[in-house]
Amino acid sequence: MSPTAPAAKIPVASPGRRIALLGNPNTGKTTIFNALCGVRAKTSNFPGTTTSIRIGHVDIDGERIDAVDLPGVYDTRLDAPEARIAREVLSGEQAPPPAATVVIVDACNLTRNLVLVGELLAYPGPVIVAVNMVDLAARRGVMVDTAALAARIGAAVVPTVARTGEGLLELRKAISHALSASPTVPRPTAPPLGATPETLTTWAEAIVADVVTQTAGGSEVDTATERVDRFLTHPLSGMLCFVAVMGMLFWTLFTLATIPMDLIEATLAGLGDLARGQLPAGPIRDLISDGIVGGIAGTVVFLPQICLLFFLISLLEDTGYLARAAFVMDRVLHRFGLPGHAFVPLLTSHACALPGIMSTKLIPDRRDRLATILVAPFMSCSARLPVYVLLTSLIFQDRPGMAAVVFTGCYVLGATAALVSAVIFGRTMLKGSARPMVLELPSYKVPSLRNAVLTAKDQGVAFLRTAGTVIVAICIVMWWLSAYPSIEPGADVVALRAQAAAPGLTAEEAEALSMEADTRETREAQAASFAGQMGRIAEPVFRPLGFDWQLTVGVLTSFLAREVFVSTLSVLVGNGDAADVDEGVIARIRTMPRSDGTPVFTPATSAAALVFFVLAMQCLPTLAVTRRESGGLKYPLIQLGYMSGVAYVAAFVVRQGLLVAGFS
Amino acid sequence: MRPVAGSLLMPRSNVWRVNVIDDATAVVPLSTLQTGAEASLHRTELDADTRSLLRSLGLIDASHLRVCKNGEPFIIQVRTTRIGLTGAVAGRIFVVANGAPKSNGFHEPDRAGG
Repeated sequence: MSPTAPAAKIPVASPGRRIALLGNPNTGKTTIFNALCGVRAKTSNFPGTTTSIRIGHVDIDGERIDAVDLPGVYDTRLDAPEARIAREVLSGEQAPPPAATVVIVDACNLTRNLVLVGELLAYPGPVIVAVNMVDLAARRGVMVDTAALAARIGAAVVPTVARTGEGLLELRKAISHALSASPTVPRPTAPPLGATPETLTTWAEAIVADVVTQTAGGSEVDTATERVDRFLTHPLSGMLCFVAVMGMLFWTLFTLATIPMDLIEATLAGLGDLARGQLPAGPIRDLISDGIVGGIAGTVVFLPQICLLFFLISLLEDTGYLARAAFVMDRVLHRFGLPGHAFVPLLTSHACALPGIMSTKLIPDRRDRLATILVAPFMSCSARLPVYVLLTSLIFQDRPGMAAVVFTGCYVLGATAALVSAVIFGRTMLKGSARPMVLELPSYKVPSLRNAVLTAKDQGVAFLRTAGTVIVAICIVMWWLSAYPSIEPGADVVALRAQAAAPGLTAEEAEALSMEADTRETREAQAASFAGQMGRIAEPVFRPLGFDWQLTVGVLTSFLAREVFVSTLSVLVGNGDAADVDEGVIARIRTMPRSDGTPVFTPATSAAALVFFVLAMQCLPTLAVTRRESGGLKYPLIQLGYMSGVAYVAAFVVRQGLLVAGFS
Repeated sequence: MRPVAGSLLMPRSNVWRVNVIDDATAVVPLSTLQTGAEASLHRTELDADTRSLLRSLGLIDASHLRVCKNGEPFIIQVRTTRIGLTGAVAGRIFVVANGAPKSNGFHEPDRAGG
């Protein structure tokens, strides 16, 4: 901390027209920020950190003032990213200090909140205190004399009820007055610079004793909250509630997100077709219709899951339930070096690792957050589903029961790998176990729909602006590798097309010949493409796993997204580029030959491929999001190297084990 | 750490405080208290980050606290703040059960920390 001003006379900072909003967590700060700034606020990572701050604009007397919504902090001197950011912003280390600071305090919990106010009075610039939730406090018999409070601390004090908008007009006026105030403000009773929590608490308690009255019948003991807490954190009822709440959350996520996802895919597919129909044939047309539109589709399709997840998490967080749920899961996850908060990212990753990794923002400690980010992609996401369907069907022909068991085993294997890896990371590069859990248990509240919508919007925009651009670029590069160099159709294709055009054939026969020609052409193009060539080059690396060049191409192309593996194999066996796998395609893939004529998918090779896909980091978009959330390239590279290594070794062991056991 | 305002009237020696507490033999781990029990913080044996977090949540030296729930998690109330702790953390917080002499309100941060 580096405030340099004496406590008695606070020089106002240089006239940068920017205000900062600060407060303890769960004080309604975000609701007040949203009410002041509307929907135009943007979320971005604070420079050099992975902690988000929100920046918006508020119109004060016709002037556009920047407003910075700082992360919730209890104490600006803590050794935590949120506190460091608050210190840097308030003391003007990275930019001119704010012209005024609005501190939002909880009227029901005034002593602890005033400790933060006491700290802030040592910083330059005027301070405005919004005493929020005065309605809730009044219901509990707590009455705050805001005029007396203002006189005691030498700062403007405004009572507010952010949820209903009460007091926000007065808050704007107070901000306006603070911005036009004289350059020095006397604060005779401010705590000394660098005061300890004990000093600040004594100061706050003295003020509270003077300005707060507790009516008869009011009590600090909230028996209803205590009863609910006991129920929600009980080993049995707490776990049952957790399962029910999470079940509902993910059911909603899976059910509702698929509707806009299907719509997005259909719309962009239509756009691609439109471009293909309107533009002259050639590389520009292919780039636009397949590369760019395909790349945008590959990015935007994640948006519904991301927005819906953050909408639901925001609602849950607002109710106060998440803090209780974190304790329920801490009992399980702490043994593996993960915090209780990690349950949301890990569960979400079963839908998709992208929103899962983005939701690690919930985890307060950086070490815990990184550990969760690194292991989250082991969870079997929905993109693995078609791969599991295909490979289990290949291994267990006519034995659907066994296929189902192994299918479930894939999920168990992924989750086990995640937890074991968390232990390994905790003993190596992220030494230490998860931080012991200490959390404020906020009051239960009705969640704010407006906050949830704005959170969802902010996270969606942040995803598109950062990771989204990288993902589009990756998609275009992968498309180019799979499509180029383009080759002329082979003699067999030309001959088939000539046969199809010959007179005397029925329409069905002509169409069948034509389809066969298309299939061969696609297959030959795939084999000659850069991806195909890379598959041949990389084949020796994957040979110990039983993979031939075709399977290797499948592995390489599926770096874009795992489900591409299925469509690649589908192409290679002559099913066009359809991703749907019916019995006919599975039968053809099962008999797909190697160059020497032997089948590729023997039981041992299929099992090795299955284990490889359960454990491998076959998803470049996930790496892009890891880079964004971890703040650099180090962790995505570790994630890629570690997961690929584990997948390779496990697949090798499984194949060799099966070969030794007598399977082919 | 600076002493609190007004603490000049109180003895400055930690030894004084420790002696009084030890004589009273009432210092117990927080985790041993039952639901509804009240106590005052004596000291913590936690890492610096956790200690700082607890202090920022209001659990400072001699803070009065009430046990809302014993077990896992262990829930306490300090003034109007409800704090959830894992049982392990509660086992490393030492308190003077209600009725025993209270601490004097200032201390060395690395000893009393909380």
